[in-house]
Amino acid sequence: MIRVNHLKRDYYFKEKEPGFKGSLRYLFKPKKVTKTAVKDFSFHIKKGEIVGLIGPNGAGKTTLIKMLTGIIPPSEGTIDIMGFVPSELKDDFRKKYAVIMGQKSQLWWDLPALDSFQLNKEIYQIPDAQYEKNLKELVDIFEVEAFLQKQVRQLSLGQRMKMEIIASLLHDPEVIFLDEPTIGLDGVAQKQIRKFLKKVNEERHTTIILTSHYMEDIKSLCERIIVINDGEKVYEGTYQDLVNKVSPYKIVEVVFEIAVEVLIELPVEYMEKNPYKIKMKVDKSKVNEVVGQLFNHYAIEDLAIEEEDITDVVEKIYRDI
Amino acid sequence: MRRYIRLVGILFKFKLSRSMIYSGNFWMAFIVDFFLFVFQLVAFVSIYQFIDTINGWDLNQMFVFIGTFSIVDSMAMGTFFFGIINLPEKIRTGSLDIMIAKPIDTQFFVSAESFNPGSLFGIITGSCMVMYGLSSGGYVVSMIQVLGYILLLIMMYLLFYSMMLIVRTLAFIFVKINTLTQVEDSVIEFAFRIPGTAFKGISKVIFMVIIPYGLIATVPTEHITNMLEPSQWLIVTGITLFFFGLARFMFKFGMGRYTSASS
Amino acid sequence: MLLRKYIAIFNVTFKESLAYRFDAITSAVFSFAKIYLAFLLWQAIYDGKEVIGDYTFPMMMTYYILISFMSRLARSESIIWETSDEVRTGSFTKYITRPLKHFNYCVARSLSKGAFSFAVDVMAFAVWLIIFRHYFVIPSNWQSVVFSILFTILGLYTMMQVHYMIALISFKTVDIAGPYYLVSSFMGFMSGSFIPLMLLPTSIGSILAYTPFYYMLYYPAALYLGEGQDKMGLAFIVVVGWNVIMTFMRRHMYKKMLQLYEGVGA
Repeated sequence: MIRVNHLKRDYYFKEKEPGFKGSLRYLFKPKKVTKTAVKDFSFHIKKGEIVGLIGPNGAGKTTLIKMLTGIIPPSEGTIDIMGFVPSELKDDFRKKYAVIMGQKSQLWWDLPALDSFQLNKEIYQIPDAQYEKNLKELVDIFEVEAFLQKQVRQLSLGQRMKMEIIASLLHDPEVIFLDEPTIGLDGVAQKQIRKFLKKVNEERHTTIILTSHYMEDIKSLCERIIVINDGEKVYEGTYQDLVNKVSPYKIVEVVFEIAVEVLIELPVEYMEKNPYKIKMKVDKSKVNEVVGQLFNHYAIEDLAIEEEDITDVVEKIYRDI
Repeated sequence: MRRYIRLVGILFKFKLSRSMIYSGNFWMAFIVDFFLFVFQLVAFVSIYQFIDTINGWDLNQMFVFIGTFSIVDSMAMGTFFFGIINLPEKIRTGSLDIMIAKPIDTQFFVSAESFNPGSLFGIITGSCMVMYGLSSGGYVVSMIQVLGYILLLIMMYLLFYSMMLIVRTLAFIFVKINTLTQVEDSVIEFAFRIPGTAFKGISKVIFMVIIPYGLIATVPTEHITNMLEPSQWLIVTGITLFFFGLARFMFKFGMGRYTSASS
Repeated sequence: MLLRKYIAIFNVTFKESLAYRFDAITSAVFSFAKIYLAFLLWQAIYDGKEVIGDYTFPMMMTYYILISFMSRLARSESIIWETSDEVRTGSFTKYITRPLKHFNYCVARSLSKGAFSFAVDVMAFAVWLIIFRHYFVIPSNWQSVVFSILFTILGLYTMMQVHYMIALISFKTVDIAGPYYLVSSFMGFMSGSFIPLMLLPTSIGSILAYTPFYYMLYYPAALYLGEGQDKMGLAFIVVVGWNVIMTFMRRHMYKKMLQLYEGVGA
């Protein structure tokens, strides 16, 4: 459904040197600087997949989304989405997708969200029946009935993002691009949005491509992730594989029944150690051994084995890959 | 086509209901324009105290001219003006992205996004001025002439639209075009507000052909006061079509160069 | 010393302007394009006539050259946009929490920008003077130049007070552009930037002579052209009187408006 081959995108800047002479030179013969935001990027996405794009700030995620939606043309390489070339901006193509950018609103600030929905109905030429049905369904899911008549500017950030999503889905897009959809939202709203995206994907087989800073978004939604760093694809695969690859550790936390001093030698790195509780980083292959030893020697009240904290993992990804 | 007409309707309604919320703004642009109209009138009436004609135009023709200017200006302010004027800002901040992603013509969307219904009242005051000038000048106007006048108004409206858009599409390439819009401001202020008859020689070529702001209010005025030669229709139509096409081309070309404010 | 912090603001602003000097030069050169357009219009109007109003054609051109130079010096408009921005984003708080008087701060900044414009514009101005040298009148006595400069400074200060009061409206409405354009279209006409005010019917002209606008551009330019020296006493009383009134007004407004300040972010 989406085929991207050897994509490249350059940005050109004119650099201005300091001083009056620099200004003059800037006017007549500016020094051109090229910055490559995305290079030799290829991937394929099948219908109904949810794919996460992750990477540090300025890695090229947004540039990639902008090329996929046709907002900017690529410098080199090809994109094929359902047989369309995005940068040609055919109306039929633009009717098939939706793009939600956490930072940019399509809603009319001074008017109730319902007005923006009606505008979209005309822009996307949505038949009355389909519009009514979708609107009702979406409004029910997000429980925003009460806010439909309120000016958008008076809505909270979470309510606004929900309206943003409703506005984008009225025309039943086959692909949804989301750029940082949960940025700045509170935990409850984030969860609701995640749950909703999952539902849309399952019920309508909508293909979803999203970028996010919150690993929780990616972890709970995406079957497949693509890691981008410095414009290049550095990883493609499942979340679990990635975690295994970059994080060979598990976190083991043990709570003792009575105060003890752990004297036996363990192949671990202690993160916390006191008479009632120890917390340690353990190599995945050695978890069984360590736990066994602890059970043999001490009275254990509680034991928890967890993956390393995801934020740490991500930092590592960017550092290591 | 029908879809676009419906969209215009909806966008117009939006702006209307928005102006209901901020009722002060509804009249603001009209009031500002109305005062400028009065000042322009006072200025020329004052000047005509000392002279009889400016290059053959008497005070009554000047009334028709000022009224015509006000009509075209109000049409522009009421429809595309505020949408177009924000284009460079949209390019600079990348908020054009959302508009590009919609399945309608982006140029249309940008142009029709910011109607300003209050300004349209200027068409009425302008028309009154034109009628006053015609009647006190003793002009007898035929129905055909009125139709021709309206047709010319529409053409000049399109020319004004094209000129404004062309300047602003340059923001796709240069991002900051403040100097350019400043020059445009002063050109509009004079070339648009003073009768084209004032231009001679090289300046006539500049303001009537190369940057034809001088045509906009002048040509309809000349037509209705029997001064426009039939052959000039051709030239005026040609210029309008040329600039309209150029604006379209520049917009398309600019979109290809659009980089969207870097992520 | 109290003045020192405002000198510091002046300096910082000047450095800030320096960063944009190239833009400033180009925009200065082009902004004088108005002079050329005025030239075309008035050439057509004079058309064989020797004098219109009291002005010969060269005097008329000198008038437009002078006022376009003077209005480039008036940089206080930016007070409006800056204040509006600061109120909206909440960063206006910095004037409340720091020992700074907002008005004095604005004065220091406008002065600095004006001084910078002066430095830049003198060059651009020279270019236009060479082009229009045949149409530029050299005054017959030095007094008219001195008085013209004095009244220009007074006029700029008056303009700053007006702009400042518009800026204060930011506390009431986010949309400051409307009031701005309204006031500035009035100010443009009544200060003589469309046409020299002596061309207006005498009744209108004599009423305008009691408004502060009359003295912003028209009167200083007229002084340079050797007119209106006999009315200088009255002119001085009117300008100073208005400035005293406006000082009270703007202080009162500032107090009132500050109570509306919400100090919100974003």
